[in-house]
Amino acid sequence: MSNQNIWVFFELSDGRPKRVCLEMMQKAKALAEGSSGKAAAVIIDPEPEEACKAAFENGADQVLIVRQKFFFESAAYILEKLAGKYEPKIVMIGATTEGRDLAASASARLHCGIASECTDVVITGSGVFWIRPSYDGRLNTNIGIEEAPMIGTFKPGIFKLEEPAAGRSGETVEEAIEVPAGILLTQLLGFTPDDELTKANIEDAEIIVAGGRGVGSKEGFGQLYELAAALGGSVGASRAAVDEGWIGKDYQIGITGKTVAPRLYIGFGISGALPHVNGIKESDIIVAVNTDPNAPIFGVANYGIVADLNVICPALTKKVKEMKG
Amino acid sequence: MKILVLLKEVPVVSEIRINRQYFTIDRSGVGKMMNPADRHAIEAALKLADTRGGEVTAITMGPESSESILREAASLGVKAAYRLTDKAFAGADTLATATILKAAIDATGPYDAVFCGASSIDGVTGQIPAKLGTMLGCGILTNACKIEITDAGLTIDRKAGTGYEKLTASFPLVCSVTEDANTPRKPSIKGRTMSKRLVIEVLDNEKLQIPAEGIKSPSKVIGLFPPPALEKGQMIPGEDPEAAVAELVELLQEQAAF
Ligand SMILES: Cc1cc2nc3c(=O)[nH]c(=O)nc-3n(C[C@H](O)[C@H](O)[C@H](O)COP(=O)(O)OP(=O)(O)OC[C@H]3O[C@@H](n4cnc5c(N)ncnc54)[C@H](O)[C@@H]3O)c2cc1C
Ligand SMILES: Cc1cc2nc3c(=O)[nH]c(=O)nc-3n(C[C@H](O)[C@H](O)[C@H](O)COP(=O)(O)OP(=O)(O)OC[C@H]3O[C@@H](n4cnc5c(N)ncnc54)[C@H](O)[C@@H]3O)c2cc1C
Repeated sequence: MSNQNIWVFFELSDGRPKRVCLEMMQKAKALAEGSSGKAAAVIIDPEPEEACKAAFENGADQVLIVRQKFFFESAAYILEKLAGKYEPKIVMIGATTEGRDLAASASARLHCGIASECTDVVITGSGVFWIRPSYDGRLNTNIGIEEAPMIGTFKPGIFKLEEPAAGRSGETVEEAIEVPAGILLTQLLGFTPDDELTKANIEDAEIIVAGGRGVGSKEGFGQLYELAAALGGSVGASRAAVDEGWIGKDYQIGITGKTVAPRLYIGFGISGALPHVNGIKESDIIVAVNTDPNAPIFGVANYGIVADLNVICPALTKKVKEMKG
Repeated sequence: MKILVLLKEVPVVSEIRINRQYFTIDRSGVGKMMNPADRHAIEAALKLADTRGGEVTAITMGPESSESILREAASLGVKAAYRLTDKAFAGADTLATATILKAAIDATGPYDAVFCGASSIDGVTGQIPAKLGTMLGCGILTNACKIEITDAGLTIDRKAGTGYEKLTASFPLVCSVTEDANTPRKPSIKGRTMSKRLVIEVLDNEKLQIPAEGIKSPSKVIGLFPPPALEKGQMIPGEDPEAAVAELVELLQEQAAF
């Protein structure tokens, strides 16, 4: 019989947990509290200390540690062994590049159900229900899984990150698991940072200035870059702007682009179609500037201004620059 | 070399109509096509065959209509094709789908390389490649945006956050391909003839013999519902842009938004 425990897989970069792991940890805590289970973090890393502390402060009752280098193939093997021993109900994994491979590989090993890239999860007596946006965000799909264990993946920015509880602590369990050589068939040769991709790494941005078809041209995006620079933020775009060729595909926000959750999102000339809105919902503050008072984006914005972006954007840049001196 | 490409027929998602009252979807009359990324998987498979010699086979699991994507693949140079279908395969989730594809690979392979799309546009899970690779016990290269053929296998680049990751694996391997990876070729005249002549072998569970336990889907689509409405916020009058900007900045500063 499996228990009600909920695990969150912690993916680290330079010893620090990725933000999506903390977001899921807080969600796991809330879920565990509602179902009399424990929330646990699983950390596979030679230096798990910092991540372990973060796990506790974000809601873990327990941290399972395997001191080893992380790679999706070995991690899937380790998860299989850990899940076999401790029988968690749910394993949450971030839908990052490696997280996706890990989730797929682990679910094959565990022969278990998976709900991928969900926006929510609800636990009831009869099963666990996973919510996934589908049909371009026009409808949500409810995926039900009964048998434990099961895996759910979440993109960064789906759950709002609350303040961690500083100093909170819990139980740590270390496990030594030998990964047979035959498991490692793929090799990561290296990572090459890229300026373009760094600029487009809007998933981690605190402030996003986004432009849509209303921006009108590639040149029109110039004023958005200026505002973003003044605010210390990044530029993003709707699919329409990407399709027009005004900005690269890596900047696209929405269901077929990136999900973002900045502190501040300012949308210029974006109508607010569902596929786009799906990617910005968890932003703390949404500001919209659009000439059409009936634009759907005003239905989701915290603050809306019906005006020409070509006037508002430069005026806002000027004001921000003045204030920042 | 024996090379396989996996193809999925998908609906043209934007043509699917939604009944706003009952939140059901209407797929009648909705066009079907080859999953866009799969076209690039075919190209990657053909390029490997061109470079190292060998033949490319295509497999799809789907209804009879999906034979048209197999014929399309044949017009590009794919030589053999199988369609997997059985009552027991209906409603397969990603675990069951990968299990069935694995059985078909065991029955028709072995293959040195299996190419697939990085993700489908209808299920959009991106689960099949790494699941299948794990079940096959071979190297797994996902989301390739650049593919290099090496002596022993493949080396790929893929986008990862602020840069590119380089991964490598030896044959046999599974490689999933994004639309950035290559430019698919156009069908040739000879290809069009080959496409018409292509014999598609249908494999059902009588032939594949997958035990019922193996094709049970642990996840089920329970239903569809509309996304919840979000809270509507405050409008700032826009007639006087200076005043509007001043008010906005004040509101944002109050909340320490920047
Ligand atoms: C399968 C599928 C997937 C999709 N995925 C995504 C996705 O990931 N992301 C995404 O964004 N979209 C996506 N879309 C497209 C989406 O449905 C919309 O078409 C798109 O978001 C519209 O972009 P937009 O708001 O920039 O353009 P439009 O809808 O054309 O809106 C432009 C807006 O600019 C305003 N405007 C014009 N001039 C000015 C001005 N001078 N000042 C201020 N406002 C002005 C107009 O009033 C209008 O509201 C997807 C669609 C499909 C079918
Ligand atoms: C709205 C919706 C939501 C769903 N959610 C889930 C879920 O959360 N969990 C779950 O387990 N299942 C889910 N499914 C079922 C899932 O879509 C199917 O199992 C599907 O057969 C495979 O998944 P995919 O299309 O996402 O494949 P992906 O992994 O996205 O496809 C990648 C590649 O695998 C190959 N491939 C995929 N399917 C086939 C095929 N039938 N034949 C040959 N090659 C193929 C293609 O090369 C394709 O490009 C969902 C289905 C729908 C319609």
